[in-house]
Amino acid sequence: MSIDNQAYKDLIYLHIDGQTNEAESQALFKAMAEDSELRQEFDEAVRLDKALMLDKSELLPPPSLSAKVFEKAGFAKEAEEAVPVAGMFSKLLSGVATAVVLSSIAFTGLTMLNEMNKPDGSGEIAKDVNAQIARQYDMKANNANTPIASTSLSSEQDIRLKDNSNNIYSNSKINNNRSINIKDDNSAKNKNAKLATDKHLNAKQSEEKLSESIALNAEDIISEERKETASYTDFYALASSEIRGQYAGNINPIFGASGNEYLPIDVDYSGNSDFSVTLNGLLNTNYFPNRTIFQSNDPLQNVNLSLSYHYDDSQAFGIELGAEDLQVYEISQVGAKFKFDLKPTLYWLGLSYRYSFNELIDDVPLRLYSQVAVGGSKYGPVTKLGAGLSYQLSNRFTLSLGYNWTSLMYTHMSTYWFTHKTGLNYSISYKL
Amino acid sequence: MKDLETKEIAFRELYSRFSGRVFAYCKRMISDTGAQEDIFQEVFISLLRAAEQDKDIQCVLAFLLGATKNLSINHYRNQKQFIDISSIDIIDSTNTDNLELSEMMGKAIELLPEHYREAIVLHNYMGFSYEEIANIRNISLQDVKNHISRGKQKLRSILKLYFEYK
Repeated sequence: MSIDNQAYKDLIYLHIDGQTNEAESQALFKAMAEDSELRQEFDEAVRLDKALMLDKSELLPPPSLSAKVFEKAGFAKEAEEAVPVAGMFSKLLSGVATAVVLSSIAFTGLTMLNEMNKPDGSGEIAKDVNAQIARQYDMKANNANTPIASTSLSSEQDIRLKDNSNNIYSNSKINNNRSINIKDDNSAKNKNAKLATDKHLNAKQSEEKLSESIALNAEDIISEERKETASYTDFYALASSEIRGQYAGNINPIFGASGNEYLPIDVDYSGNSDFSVTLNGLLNTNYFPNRTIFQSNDPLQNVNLSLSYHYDDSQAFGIELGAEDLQVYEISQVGAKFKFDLKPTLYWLGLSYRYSFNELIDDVPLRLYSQVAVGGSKYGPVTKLGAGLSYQLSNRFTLSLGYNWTSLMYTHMSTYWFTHKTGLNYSISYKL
Repeated sequence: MKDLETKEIAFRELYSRFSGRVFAYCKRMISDTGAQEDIFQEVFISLLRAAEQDKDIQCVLAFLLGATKNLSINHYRNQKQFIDISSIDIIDSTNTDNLELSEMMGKAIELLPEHYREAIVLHNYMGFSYEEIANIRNISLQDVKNHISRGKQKLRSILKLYFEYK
């Protein structure tokens, strides 16, 4: 056997496995046309390949062995459903069923979300986009005109969403709770999107911490072709509703490994509204000037309620309605004497601005904040300054604890007077 | 959902996805029939244990493959049974008349040199690409190509009479 002939024989097997380039394939076929031994080798190689495929399809663990595995694992239940199903038809059915289920979940979730987003007029558009997304499950889209959502995994848990011009629209991280924080770089708004399929929720159960669940999740959302080699870094997510609404025309809010895999998963967008309601409580500690001797910490007299609009992740504007005790006396003259009536409960209405700084520790939603509020009351303008720490319990709830200074300016006998107080401020916010 | 149910669902799903390939690997790489099923069971139990210990499993299939290989090595540590008879090219057809394809293929693959055998099993039975096999075995892509093409040529020559008979 000549060396050349051996090289061609090698090429035969590589060609069948799709490992030859066009030039090699052409050279091989040219050689085969002239050499009957090579043609025979080719026929036998094809036959061997078919035999290997057939052999592989027949090599399945018997049910009794599967049952033993589950018994050893502590899952004594019948293992029939876990026995792999052989055959192209079954695989096709399984793939279609998975696609339908995942698409349904994604479509249902996103449709519900869009219903919520209708006030901005983008609901219907977004719904159409979502329907498209649902259909794009596990499809490859190489059309250059198709809006591109590609990922660039610069580090293990980074996910970025880009448009056709490679502008980064979102930057997100998967934190330890398996929720995805999506940050829109354009508006600097943070969006929380929790992976919400059953399996993702399962993986989120920190007590369990099943690595296989994590890997499984990764496989659920990547294409059939790549699922075997999936890793946790293959997590992809849909963009937040806001991003989708804002860029529905030019961006496809789906992450993919290489930009040509469109793989939606269901995302829970709870708490992604820009509005929140906050209930504040005050624990007064000092009053100024100290001539005022009345001091109250009646919770019902030291509360305020605010409705805030979150302009971005750091800034929020709110309307506040407060009821708290400030040292105010109503003075009336009775004959030659003045009569002082203490009016401890002061109602005020005003506007607030709150600035939240970045997380103190990565992936721990603990942040410093500062806040200012200006309002009016029956007796005069009220000013409040505060600073403290906030901790985001979940997508919806945030707790805050800080120190607060409140001032009331009022007039008495044509003179301006001030009364102040300081105290602890505690609050709970609920994002709508 | 309870934790145990969660664990079971995840485990069953993984088993469903990978048991066929792990089983095929065991059948084709481990010649001791009794050990094949024992190792197969242990591989999946080790996956479960690793998950319970919160070990970082980047790729489940790679983990299963590694576990299978480690358990095989342990099994053969004291009884080396991999047969390296690369000089043997042809099986006597009189011994194979009644063998089904699977048995025949098993015996033929067993006769391959180990590096040929593993490359073919990883590619044809476990579905790894040539590039992935190169990474797994820490060899060059060209080596993988050589191992698979030469291994299949040897396999073809071993099975030549079988194919002709069929």
